[in-house]
Amino acid sequence: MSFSSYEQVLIVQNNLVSGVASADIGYQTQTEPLYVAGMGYMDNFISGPTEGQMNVNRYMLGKDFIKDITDDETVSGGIILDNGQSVGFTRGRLLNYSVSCNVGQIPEIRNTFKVYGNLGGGVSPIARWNPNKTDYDLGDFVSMSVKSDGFAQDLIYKCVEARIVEEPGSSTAWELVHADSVQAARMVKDSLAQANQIKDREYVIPTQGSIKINFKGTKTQNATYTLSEFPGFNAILGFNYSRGLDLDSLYALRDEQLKGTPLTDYEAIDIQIIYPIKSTFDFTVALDNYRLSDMRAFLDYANWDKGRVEQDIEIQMFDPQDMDSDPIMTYSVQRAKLLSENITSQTGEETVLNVSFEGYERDKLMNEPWFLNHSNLEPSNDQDISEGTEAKIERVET
Amino acid sequence: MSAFTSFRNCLIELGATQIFATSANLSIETSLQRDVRIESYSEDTAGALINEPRLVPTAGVKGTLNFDFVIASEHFDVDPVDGKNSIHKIFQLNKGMSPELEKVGRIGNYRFFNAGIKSLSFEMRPFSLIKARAEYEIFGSVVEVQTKSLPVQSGCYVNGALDDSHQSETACNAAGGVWRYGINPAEGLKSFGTVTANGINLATQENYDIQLISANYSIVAKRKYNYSIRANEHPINQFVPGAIMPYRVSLSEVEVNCNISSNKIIPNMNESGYLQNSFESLNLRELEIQLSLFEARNFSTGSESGNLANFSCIGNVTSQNLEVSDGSYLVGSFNVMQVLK
Repeated sequence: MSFSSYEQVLIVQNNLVSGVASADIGYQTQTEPLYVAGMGYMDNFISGPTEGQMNVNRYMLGKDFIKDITDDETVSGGIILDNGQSVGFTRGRLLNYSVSCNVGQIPEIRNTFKVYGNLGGGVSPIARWNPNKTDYDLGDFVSMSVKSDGFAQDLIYKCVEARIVEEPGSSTAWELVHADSVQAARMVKDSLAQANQIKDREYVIPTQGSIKINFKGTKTQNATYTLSEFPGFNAILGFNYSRGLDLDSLYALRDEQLKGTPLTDYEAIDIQIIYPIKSTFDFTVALDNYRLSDMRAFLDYANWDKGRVEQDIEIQMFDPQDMDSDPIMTYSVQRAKLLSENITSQTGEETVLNVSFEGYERDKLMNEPWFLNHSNLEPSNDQDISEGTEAKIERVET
Repeated sequence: MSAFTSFRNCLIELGATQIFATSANLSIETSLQRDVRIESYSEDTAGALINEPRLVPTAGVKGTLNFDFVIASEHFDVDPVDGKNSIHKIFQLNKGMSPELEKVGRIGNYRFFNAGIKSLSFEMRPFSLIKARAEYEIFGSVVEVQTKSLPVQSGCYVNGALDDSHQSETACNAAGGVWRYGINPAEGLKSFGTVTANGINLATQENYDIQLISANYSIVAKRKYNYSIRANEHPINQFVPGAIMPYRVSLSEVEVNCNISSNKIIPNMNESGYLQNSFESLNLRELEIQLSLFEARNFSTGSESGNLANFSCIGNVTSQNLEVSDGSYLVGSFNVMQVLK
């Protein structure tokens, strides 16, 4: 028996994800062969970490909670099929967030999650119970890791007594959803589908008329010479936005032996973001009132902050029925650098400008270089970023 | 049949023991030097007349053999009862070791003679087989012999023990055993290391929390070789190549070095190679590094695979450094040395 593409649900951070067009989830192993002199090939042995990945393509149907997942937030989720069979993952990170929008299309979102924890059929897509979380509400679901013969057989519990910190399985505050993990996943899927957030959702699909793109110039220059200089001109026909993290995982010699935990609990000891975080914007513009930058102007850094080579860019997506309210989604990048400008002109078609920008984000916990904000070198905020006992005075971007 | 010996057929042996080498190198050299002497006096030039220059030997034929190999239970084992290491003598390097040379060995279709182990080292890091390296000094020449090959070792393991009564994989599985192909090498993922100071494990010590990224262990022995003029003047030297041999061999120095790469180095280190005073109530007079090597696959019923060897290094810090580069972490490394002899 197989399953059609209309019966499964995608879960991220205990929420059903709407508008999913496709999702793939899997992992790759790394082995290499051992050859011994006089005997030749022996066998294959592990040669690298096993890490998983989930890719999701979906339509933007309103405010997107995945956009609010922070760079260092640990993510869990997975897919539950109609009969309750599931593939879940733990300790994931949101690696990439991309949006594309063209005239005549519903905006599409693509996400990539990288999995550093476990991934598999017995791993629950429901988030693990967090002993430090004290605000579990009635009806909240958590999962507990259970292994049998080296394979996960996670159990799912439902909160029946709020604000309790006791561990599921040893407390009456938590109720086992079902002893059979497949049945438990099916019941959780049905329950999440009935949750108000999904049942009462009014889908808000941005249209071309409800998307505003602002080229703001820089802090030293207004929108002059940008695509936003003349409102009403230079209609944006489409855009692509992508923001991707470069993650580096560190593996140490295992100490599971010392902890008394099995080897299958061995994971990366640390995962760090390699800064800066890169964002790219590609725009397709119906050109009618815009003057391209001089190619050679790029060579003089003095021209960079004059509103063309370097500028702040913001895309706001509004509810088409209520353009006066706050935008439902905003994508922005500061001090984006102009990558390319290209004009295509052909008979029978509009003259089109393709312009690309690339932006870089610093670690928000680190100081801005003093020459960027031109402020005095006085500590503005006492914050310990050492995570140690020795406090350090650092100016932190607020 | 090819005129060349392939890696698959290139058996490497020391004594009668096969080495599980992934690469090997044998080099032999003579000790020839220019012999230039004043032979007479030239009346024509009123100067010295020298001989026709030639090369003469100053010692016997010597060489080195080194090979990278995988550590396996055929050569290394730890007694589960008393925890003592059992290492095959061809790899044994310790204070009480015999300086005697291994009489014979083989690389493919060449035999060598008189090999003495000089160093044994290995590197441990996650997601890699533990790659060991052994280096030997060789005395005498090599001779060409017939190629020899061995079948891939396989057998039925029931409850972790080899059971010869099941001679096929089907019969083995029916008996609840595991049919094992080839060797079961030590693997970095299964193995682990600890660093302790005064009995305190620095990985679990709250203020220290050392995390080992990799470990390099080496034990090196220096030998002294004495040649007897009379013994090497025997007429057999005229007929046997490389017959000039050391008359007596003795061990002069044995030392252990262990280099740890981790998130930490030793703070407040003094000239004696230990922590001066105390660091967060921790007094590091002497560091003890213990490296425990385990087999990759588990053929027993327990949760752990077989413990192949435990190596320790108890001593002082001889050097340490910090390193960081773009896109990486700040990584510290320190070297602990122990003098055995």
